[in-house]
Amino acid sequence: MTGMVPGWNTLRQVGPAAAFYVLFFLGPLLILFLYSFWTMDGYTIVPGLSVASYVEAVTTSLYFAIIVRTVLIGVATAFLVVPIVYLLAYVMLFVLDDRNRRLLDLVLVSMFSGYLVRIYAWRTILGKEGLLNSALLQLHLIDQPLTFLLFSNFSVVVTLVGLLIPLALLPMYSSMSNVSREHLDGARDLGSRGFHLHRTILIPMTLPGLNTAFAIAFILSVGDFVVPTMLGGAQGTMIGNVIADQFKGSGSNWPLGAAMAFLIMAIMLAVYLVVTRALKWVTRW
Amino acid sequence: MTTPAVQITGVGKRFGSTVALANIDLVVDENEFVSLLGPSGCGKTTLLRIISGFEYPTAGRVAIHGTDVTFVPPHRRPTNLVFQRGALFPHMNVADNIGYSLKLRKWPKARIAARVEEMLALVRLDDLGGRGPTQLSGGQIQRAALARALAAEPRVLLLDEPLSALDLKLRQHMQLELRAIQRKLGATFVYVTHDQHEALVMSDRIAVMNEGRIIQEGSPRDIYTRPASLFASDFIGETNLLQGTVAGFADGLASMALRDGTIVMARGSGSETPGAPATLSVRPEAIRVALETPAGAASTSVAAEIIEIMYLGDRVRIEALTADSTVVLADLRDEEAAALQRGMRVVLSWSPAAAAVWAEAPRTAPG
Amino acid sequence: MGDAVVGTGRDAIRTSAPRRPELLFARLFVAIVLVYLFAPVVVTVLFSFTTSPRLSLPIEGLTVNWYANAFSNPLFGRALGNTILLAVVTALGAGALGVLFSFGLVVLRGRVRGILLTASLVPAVIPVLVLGIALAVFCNSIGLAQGIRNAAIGHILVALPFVILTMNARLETFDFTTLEAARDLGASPWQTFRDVTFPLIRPSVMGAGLLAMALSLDEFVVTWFNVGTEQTLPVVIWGLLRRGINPSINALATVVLVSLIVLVVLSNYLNRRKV
Repeated sequence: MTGMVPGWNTLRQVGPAAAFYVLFFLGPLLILFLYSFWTMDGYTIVPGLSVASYVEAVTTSLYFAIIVRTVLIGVATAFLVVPIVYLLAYVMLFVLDDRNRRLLDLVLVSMFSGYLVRIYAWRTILGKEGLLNSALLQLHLIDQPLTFLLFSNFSVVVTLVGLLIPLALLPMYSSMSNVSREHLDGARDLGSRGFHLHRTILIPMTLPGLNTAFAIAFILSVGDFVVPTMLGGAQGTMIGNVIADQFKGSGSNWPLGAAMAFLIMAIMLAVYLVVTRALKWVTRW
Repeated sequence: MTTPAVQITGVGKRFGSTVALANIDLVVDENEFVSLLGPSGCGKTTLLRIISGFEYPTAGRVAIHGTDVTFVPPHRRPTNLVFQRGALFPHMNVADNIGYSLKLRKWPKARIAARVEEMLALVRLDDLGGRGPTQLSGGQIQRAALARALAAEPRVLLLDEPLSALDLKLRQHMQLELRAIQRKLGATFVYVTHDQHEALVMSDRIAVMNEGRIIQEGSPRDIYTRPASLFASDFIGETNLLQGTVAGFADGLASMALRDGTIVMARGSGSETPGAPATLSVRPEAIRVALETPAGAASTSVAAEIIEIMYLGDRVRIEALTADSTVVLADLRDEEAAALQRGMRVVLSWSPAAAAVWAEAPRTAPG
Repeated sequence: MGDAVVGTGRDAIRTSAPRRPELLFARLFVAIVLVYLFAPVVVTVLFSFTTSPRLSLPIEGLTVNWYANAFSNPLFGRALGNTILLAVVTALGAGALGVLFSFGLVVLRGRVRGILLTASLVPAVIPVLVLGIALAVFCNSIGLAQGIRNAAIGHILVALPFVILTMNARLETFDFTTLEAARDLGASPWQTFRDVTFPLIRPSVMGAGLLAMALSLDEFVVTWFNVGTEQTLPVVIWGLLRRGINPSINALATVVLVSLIVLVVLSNYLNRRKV
């Protein structure tokens, strides 16, 4: 059709969103990146070109420990979330296929009570006087409340996993729904079964979905600061807390916050690349 | 001489550096059913889109009933297009689809309703007006699309391979229906297809296209019996291609040497250069099969061995292998093939006027 | 269980039915996951009605006091208003930008299109924390004071990738020959849009708009860094949470939960009626 080739009209259509992105996404990121090369002198920000903030982020033992803990928590969370959503999608699509649409909707509905509220609810469940402990005490399964449940890495991971399963399920489900039953039947017919079937057929075929699910679970958990604030306790601080603190808390070292932000994003990217390559390698045959 | 319905003069179309059409001249008279026939990529759909207004030519002019419409957008042309997959509006039922063009012309509701009824009856979808497009079968979709395109009585109806998505029996049925509708309405149809059989069945005239040009134009009989090029003879109907080199020319007949040295003859143009590659084209129904060379046919026959005999219901097809390893097909009546068996050595012959020699090698391997 | 023909299309023929133990395991697994996911929701609703503020078993009594408490919170009214305003602005802003962008993408070929599409999805893989602080720093340096406006920009930024993703998926299966057919039958470009394009994309546009709204309603992080002294519902909730356990939050959350469910059911019903 005469209007179906790229032209001025296309520019008018693509333009506004593109401009919005450049102005409010690229611009801010560039400015933040700029800040990461500045330093703090007392209470004033000193512009310039220095990696001092990056150095400080990495060499301060406290920060370094927090970064390591954050990455480990992220990896732990993602390594729990991904197999769960993989199995969930598999079961929904190939074992229970008569109700899968409703199940998916149900999983999504679990997000409706809101992000903050769900985190708060986990606090209720996991606390010393919380639901889980009082139930276990009442049932006489324990005689002292379990303290590790709250304000620990455990509580952070449990909460994060619960928050991220619905989000990670979407790409996984979408990717797996492109695999037809015939593919699996064909493989079974040729002799593949069980774990072998998954490792050599289903996982390679749903690799994009797996990668996206991993990215979502990993990135969202590493970058989170609400969960550690509410459930992490004193030892549960994650890098997100430290960064957030610089911009809206007692910190106010913007260059440091900026450096940490880009540092953690670089680490995220590195981990993502390593894990996805490893996954591809493991499923080679 | 009345004004032709469609007149295309010197039309060309480039897409960037690709030439889709070059120097197209075509005249379609009123009440004619003209087919644009050719393989994919030959430019027939591009030409149709230029006539309908979805593309503008980079050279030349298009006139509908005498009025120049070269750069007129589609909604202002007196042509309507039947799309390959129907393109029915999924959110409207059949009746609303058909009445759409009339609604745009602000016809009163009662008149639209009456016309829709008429159209439904014409394409024999009488009680299906209330159905949605997703509830129709392939054939019904095409009939609805046809009705929609005809509702406002366009002066020229353009059809872009509308039957290609249908299965064989349905397609054959629809071919006859389309033709009947065209005659009944006295309308002018320009029809695009890659199916030569379809073009032969339906058209008053066929324009054979290849690589952006019209290479031959004429009635179905002319195109079939007197193809103007090797391409045309191979593309329309089935034909056998024997390859060799030009040997000579005399009395309107060209002679050609096959790879094994046998000399064969058929109609030629006289412009063949001796030694140049050549191809002899002869249709299966024009070949006679005999145990010995018939009298006077020494240079219009080849020896071959029967490798397969296929009973096709209305005829028997013999597959035979010549000395230079070419597979030749011959179609015979049941009685004629009675004495033949696989493995027999036979002589395949033809009358010189029923075959042609072309001074080129076939593009793809014959057979 | 046996073999049976279930469903249509490519799943029509079930050549291998799951065995009994596999089915049982599957059902159990799904049940456990659902319990895990809904535990916080159930807890929230349950403890919005208990008399004891301590949020643990045993349950002593039921009351609706917490709801009254929540509604009488002075910040609540203003926050609700802002939240709804932001939701509408986000739906309209991200909707308009995203739908237009997707239409523009349709006519672009291979590489350019791929690059633009990928680029438009990048904000979704950047942690919202970074998006929030970057926007705050940026607005600070160009003199845009914090408030609802900045928060709106942030919300639109968060929602855009998802709107584009949704619309692009829809347009990839859109039969553009219907638009040509409309033009051919006499419709001007505007009439074509009104009579054919819009009715056919409307469900997806509305779906994308609702998605944008849902993302905006629940948005906390970017908002927190950019909204300054203004309030939105999540920001109010955050404030309450920082001050300690407060059951009226449960009441608030239950109200939001029910509203969202009603909204979604309503929109599903409306969608099913039109196309």
